[in-house]
Amino acid sequence: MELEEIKSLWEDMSQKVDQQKVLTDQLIKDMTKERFDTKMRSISIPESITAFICFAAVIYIISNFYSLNMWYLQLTGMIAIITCLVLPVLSLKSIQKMKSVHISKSTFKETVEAYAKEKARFMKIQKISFYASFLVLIALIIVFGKIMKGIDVFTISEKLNWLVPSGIGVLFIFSQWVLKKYKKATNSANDILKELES
Amino acid sequence: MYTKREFIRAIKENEGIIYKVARLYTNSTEDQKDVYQDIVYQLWKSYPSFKATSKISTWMYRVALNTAISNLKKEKRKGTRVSIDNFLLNKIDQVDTAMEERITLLYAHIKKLSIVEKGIILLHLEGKNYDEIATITGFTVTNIGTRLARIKNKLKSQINK
Repeated sequence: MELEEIKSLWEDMSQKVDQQKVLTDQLIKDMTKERFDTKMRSISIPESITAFICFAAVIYIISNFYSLNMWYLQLTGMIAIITCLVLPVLSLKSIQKMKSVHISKSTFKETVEAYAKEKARFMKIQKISFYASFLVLIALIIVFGKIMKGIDVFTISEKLNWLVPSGIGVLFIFSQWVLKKYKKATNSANDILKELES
Repeated sequence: MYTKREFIRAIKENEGIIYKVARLYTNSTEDQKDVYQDIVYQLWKSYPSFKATSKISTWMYRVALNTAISNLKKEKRKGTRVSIDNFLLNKIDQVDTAMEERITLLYAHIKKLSIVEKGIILLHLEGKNYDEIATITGFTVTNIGTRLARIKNKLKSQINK
C-alpha cells in the first residue's frame, strides 16, 4: 500500500461512511442522556466503597484506641489511621484531576500533554499506594490483633522470626514487578511529552 | 441559544468524524462503542460553548480527538452504555468486504503511530490544510509541516516492511 493509495482509500471510506446515515434522533438523545448517569456512577462506586472501608477502619481504631496500651501499639495505630485517611483522599484527588481536562476548550496538544502528565502522576500514586497498602496491612494486623484478640504481635518473637523475613521477601518480589511496570508507563509518558516538544 | 434539534442535525451531518476518530483510538469494538458514545456526549455537553465563528467540523474534530485521548486513561472506568448496534461501527462491512479488509489494514498501519501522529495524519487524510490542523491541534503551522513529513516517512517505511 502506497501513501497515495492510503489517501484515496481514506477518501473512499469517508464517502461510504457519509452516505450511510445511521444515527437516529432517538439514538443521539439516548447517548446524551444515559452517558451522564452511567459516567457518574462508574466513577464513584469503586472509590466510594474503598473510602467507606478505610473510614470505617479509622472509626473502629479510634473508638478502641484505649486498648492499644503500649507506645509502639499506639504508634502503629496512628500509622494505620493516617494511611487509611490519606489513601482514599489520594485516589479521589486523582479522579478529580482526571476530570479537570476541558475537552471543548483545550487543543489536542494540551489534551495529550495533560494525558501524559496524568499518566506519569497516576503511576507515581500507584507506586505510593502499593507500598502504603503493605504498610497499612501490617499496621492493621498488629492493631486489630490487639483490639480484637488482645494479642501483642511484638511480643511473639518466635512467630516474628519467620513472619518478618517472609514478608520482606514477598514485598521485594512484588516491588520489583511494580517498579518494572512503573518504569515502563513513566517512560511512555515521558516519550509523549518529548514528542510534543520536538 | 442552541437547540437540541440543531445539535442533532449537526451530529447527523458529521457522524463520519465520530466514527473515524473512535475507530482510530480504540482496539476493540466494545471500546469503540464506548468512545463513540462518549464523543457524542461530550459534544452535547460542550455544544453551548461552540462559537459559530468557526466551522462546526473543526470544533467537532477537536472535541472528538480530545475525548478519545481522555478515554485512553479510563479503560477500566466504564459504565453501561446505550445499546449501539454493531452495524453502526461496521458501516463499510455491509457494503464491501474487500474494501473493509483494506481499511482494516490501513487503520492497522496508522494505529502503529504515536497518539500525536495519529491525530495529525487523521486530519491530513480528512483533507484539512496546515492552518486548520494547526487550529485543531495547537501546534504551529511550520511544526505541522515538519511532523507530517516525518509521519509520511514513518508510514512509508512501515508499509514497505
